[in-house]
Amino acid sequence: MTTLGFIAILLLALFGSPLFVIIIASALLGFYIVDIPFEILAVEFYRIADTPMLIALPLFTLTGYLLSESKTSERLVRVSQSLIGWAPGGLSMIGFITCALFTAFTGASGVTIVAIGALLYPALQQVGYNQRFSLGLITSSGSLGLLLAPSLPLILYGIIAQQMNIGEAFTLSDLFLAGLLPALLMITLLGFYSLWANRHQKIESQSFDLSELKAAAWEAKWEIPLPAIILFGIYSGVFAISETAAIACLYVAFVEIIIYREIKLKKIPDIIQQSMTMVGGIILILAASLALTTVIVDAEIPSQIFNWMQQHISSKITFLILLNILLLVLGAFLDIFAAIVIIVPLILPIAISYGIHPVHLGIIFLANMQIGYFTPPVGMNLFIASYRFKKPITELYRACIPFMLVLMFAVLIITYVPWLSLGLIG
Amino acid sequence: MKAVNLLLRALYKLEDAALVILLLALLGMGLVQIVARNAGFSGFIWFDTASRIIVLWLALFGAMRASRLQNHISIDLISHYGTKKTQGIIHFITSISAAIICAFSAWYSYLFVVSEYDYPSAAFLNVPTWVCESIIPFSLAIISLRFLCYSLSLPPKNTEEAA
Repeated sequence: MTTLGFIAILLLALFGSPLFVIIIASALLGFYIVDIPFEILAVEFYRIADTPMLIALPLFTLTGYLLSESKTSERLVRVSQSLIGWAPGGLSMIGFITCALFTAFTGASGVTIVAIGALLYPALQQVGYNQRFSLGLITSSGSLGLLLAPSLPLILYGIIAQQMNIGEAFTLSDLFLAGLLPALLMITLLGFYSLWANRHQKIESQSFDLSELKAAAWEAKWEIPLPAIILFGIYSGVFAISETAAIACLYVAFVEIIIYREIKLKKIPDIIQQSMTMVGGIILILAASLALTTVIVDAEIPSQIFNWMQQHISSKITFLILLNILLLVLGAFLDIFAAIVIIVPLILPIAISYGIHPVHLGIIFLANMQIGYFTPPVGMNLFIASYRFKKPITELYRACIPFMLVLMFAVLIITYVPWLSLGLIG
Repeated sequence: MKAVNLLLRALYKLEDAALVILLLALLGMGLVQIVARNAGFSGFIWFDTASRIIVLWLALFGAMRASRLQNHISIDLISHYGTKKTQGIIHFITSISAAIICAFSAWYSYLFVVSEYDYPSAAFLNVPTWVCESIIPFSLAIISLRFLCYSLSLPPKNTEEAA
């Protein structure tokens, strides 16, 4: 009966049943096996209302939707172009930085490729980057800001890890701080790679034009303070994270609706509905996975896996290597939110047993997932870019592989130098 | 049939309106709390609990809307392959099983809410906990009905949306 249940659930997953259904079914099967009454499902769902950090999720999501509905991406590209467009490799650096910033706010849902990529792709080729490099840059940068506050996957990891209440305690601010240096490392390495890859290419760089910089900055003067507002809110301790989210949301709404007038007031209900549909989809999966986590912990599955692994893997290093491989593969196949809610409850207790800090694990986890977004054959951003730029998917595979190798190298450093993630949080 | 259509349209309106009202309430309560706290008041203590419950309601109304648009995240590795006929069969199996699993969950959640009703406690102010929890069986029941309807219709054309 139990085996049959597992097989049925697995088949349903492969057939494309909604993920929350698969997770609820697994949880119910687990309840049945370990003899927990089914009513507990509702208790687990209600734990959503017991998670103060979740308040920030809808508000940050709406903020991101508002930004992507307006012309923020154009202003962002213009400012950074006038700021660093004169430097060697300037435009590719602009690509990395703007994509990272935009993704931090909007999540790596493909919006970055559509909004920023579409602006940069022709610009990159115009100054002399070849087509394949430009495609690879845009596609692989579509998930670059995942480690930066206030990205949704980072918040979600924090919520799950804190709900499990094991290992060293940490705050969401710690997690946000931890992502800074690793993200910077990735951007730097990509920058160097792009200089090296184009060393024989003749790339035009525009001359520095102070008046253009002033004009661009003036045009974007209302949006430039936004990252500062969020960073201040999160790190100063003056506001709670949910309060920071409320302020950011109100500020962006005010700027885009009243000052820039790029979003009509009557469109707001529509934008709220769209963004909350996404939030609903994610939180429903989260609620279901809280129930599943209870079963997993109750059945002591992580400790059984750990015991089994200890017989074969004694060193932390070997564990980390295997973890990286596992996460890279999973990242290519699983949606990031799915991966977080399914895999984190399983590997967090094991990783802690191997002496890995939960914040460090979060950064390793998301850094791997970030690569998964454009890992052939099914990374989601490959399809989005293929669709958007009308290129065959195989061309995108070839274009992305060098960037993938660079980022894998970054992930190795992030994995084996915990200081990068933990140094800032002391 | 006309009555059913009317009821459906009312439900759509309810979902859409609930999302907007709840989100604005969440935002408003957060902002009031910041102002109150910085003005020296201790803020409204119940705002905190109420906000968290609003998030639950917001999420479940959002999930209902997601099921209306067939916009749920799925792993979905093989449903794109195969002939139209096999795709139709797979669509039927996934929809009907989702309907059953959600109905089962809705029923047991309902039993839980009833047990809470029998031993009432206050979530915040005078609002009993069971009222706050009632959205769980309600939303699961609606989602279940939606999947039941979808199991009888053709597979959606645009599956990319689900990503």
